[in-house]
Amino acid sequence: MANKTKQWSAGDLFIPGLGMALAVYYLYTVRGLAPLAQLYGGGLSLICIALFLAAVIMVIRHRKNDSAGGFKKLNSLAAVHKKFIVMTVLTALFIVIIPIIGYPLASVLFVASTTIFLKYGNPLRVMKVSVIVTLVGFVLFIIFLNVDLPLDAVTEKLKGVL
Amino acid sequence: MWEMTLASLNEILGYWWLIPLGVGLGIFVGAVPGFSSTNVLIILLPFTLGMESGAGMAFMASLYSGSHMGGSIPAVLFNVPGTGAAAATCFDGYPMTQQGRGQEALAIAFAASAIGGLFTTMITLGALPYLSKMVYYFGSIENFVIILFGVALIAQITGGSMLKGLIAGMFGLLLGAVGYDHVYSVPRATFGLVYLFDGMPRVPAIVGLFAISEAFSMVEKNMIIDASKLSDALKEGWQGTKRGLVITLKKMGAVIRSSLIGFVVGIIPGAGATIGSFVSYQQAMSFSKDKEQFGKGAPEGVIASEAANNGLTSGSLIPLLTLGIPGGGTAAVMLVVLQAHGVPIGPRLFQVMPQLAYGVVVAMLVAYIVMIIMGVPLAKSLAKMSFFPTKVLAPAIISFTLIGSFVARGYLFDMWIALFFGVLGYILKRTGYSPHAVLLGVILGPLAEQYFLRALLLGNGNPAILFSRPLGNFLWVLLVLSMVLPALLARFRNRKTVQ
Repeated sequence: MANKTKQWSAGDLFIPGLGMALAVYYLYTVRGLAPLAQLYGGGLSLICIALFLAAVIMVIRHRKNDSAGGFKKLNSLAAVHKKFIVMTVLTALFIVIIPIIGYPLASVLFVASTTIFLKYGNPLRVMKVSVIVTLVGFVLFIIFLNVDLPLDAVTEKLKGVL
Repeated sequence: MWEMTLASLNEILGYWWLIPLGVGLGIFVGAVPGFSSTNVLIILLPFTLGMESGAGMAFMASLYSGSHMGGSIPAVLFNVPGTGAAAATCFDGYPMTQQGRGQEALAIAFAASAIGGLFTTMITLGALPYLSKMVYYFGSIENFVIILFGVALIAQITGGSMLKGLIAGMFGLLLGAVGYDHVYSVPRATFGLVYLFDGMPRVPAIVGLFAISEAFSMVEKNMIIDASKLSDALKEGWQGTKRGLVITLKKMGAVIRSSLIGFVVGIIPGAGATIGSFVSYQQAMSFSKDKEQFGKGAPEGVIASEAANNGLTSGSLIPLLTLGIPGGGTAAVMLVVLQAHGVPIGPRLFQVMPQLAYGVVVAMLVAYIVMIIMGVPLAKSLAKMSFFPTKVLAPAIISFTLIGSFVARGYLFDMWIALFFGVLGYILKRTGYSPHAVLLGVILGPLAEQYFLRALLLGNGNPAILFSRPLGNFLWVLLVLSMVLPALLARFRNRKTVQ
């Protein structure tokens, strides 16, 4: 559940801000539609905008002095959430390369790069883990559950044989 | 009826081995994120179509029952709900694992699943023909109010700040309103992406908000379990399982109540196990004396979710067996098998082949007994999976759950959606907003909108239609009471304590 938060920081406006941006875009896309088509989402959008304004008021009235809790200053963002940022980038790269080099190879590269980044151990250990995780995924999803993931030429042949 | 039950039991003994096979496969498949019993039953269609209709139905019913129990395993151990129905299990199951009580939480989940399922299956067996009439009383208005029970949970899982809870919940509801509108089929807020025309995909949203965001968070420590609790957890023998079983037996009232809630929701075609478990969780939280413990590792939370989603399984077969209406994906696959065998569907089933209809329910009854025998002893071994270092777990979770998010629709784009929700979930947690409230909105929002608009159309746009049906009004009263009564009771208790 959410942490108990009595004070608000500027970082706490990120989520309501995102909500408000979506609400404005939503209202833009439903403009001109029949009233019934606008009713539900339009109503929610207006509530989201009102809640964003309420959050702004809360930040102004109850602003934290030390800004602990929410995102601190923008310039310290990378330092505080370094692991999160790198993991996000690696995951994005993983998704990008799946259709290019196929799932098995992409998975080996992804697991290897994340475990190296997380300092799991020596290269042999990293390689072992990467191969095992990929093998489990390959057997479970592609062989057993017949998931139609992009494959490279070698694993495509292997799948056909199995 | 009893003669029919005994005859069905006798028939099932002829292919008894299919039931443990179905349960085992169901538990396994339920534990794989993104997969449901429906996916696997479709894959296994050639196998089930080749069997006798009774044997095929018994196998499918066992697999269906087992899958709901299996969904709780990754939910408890890694905050990864194997099925949408297990999302509410994460709320308390995962905090229990973090406290080194993973084995206990799994034992509770397994026992509550099996007992809850067993209880409602017995009700189904006794009242199968009568229960079918319930289906006729549930229209759009009643369905809308039932979904509101789940939406009401948003206000209750706010943590410390009601405003933050509301912001998260409304944001989730708005995300759930993306896609075609249910009346005019006009795309709304889709960013021009055809992948979003059908609405915000549920599986990637669940995977992202729970699994991927947790994988991003867990790398900040070495183990899932708190360091202070680790040595005790490592030394634990069967104590956790025993504790879990004792807690479940002591809270039998909660198990029965939750399974009944799931059962009633199950009878309504299209409502689904996710709604059942959320409604049950909301009720358990509303009437608990220890509300503050919910979301922090309350066994009642695990019981509420698990007993409900298993209580629902037998209920969801009632529309199929009595009226020929498949209440969900799994029931639809069963319908295909029945039709392929030329079995008469609907009320004629009870006239022509009553043994088959009762046989499915009896098979489910046996499946739940098998689940207790198979599942509970597994808790100890499965709990050990939470001792894996997070440096290995996190990449493995991300790799597997991304495939899970791909499975449902077969679009690589859904992996991006999962990543988006993963990042969103991480930011939500870091800034004190509830990812659970967002998820509730994303899952229940489209259903609420659909039933709300259908009801309004029936009333020519007049909102008074929402209060025009006796059962609907009864549910409205129950909804208001479930929101107001706990607060009044708490005030009354406090006053009594002060005096």
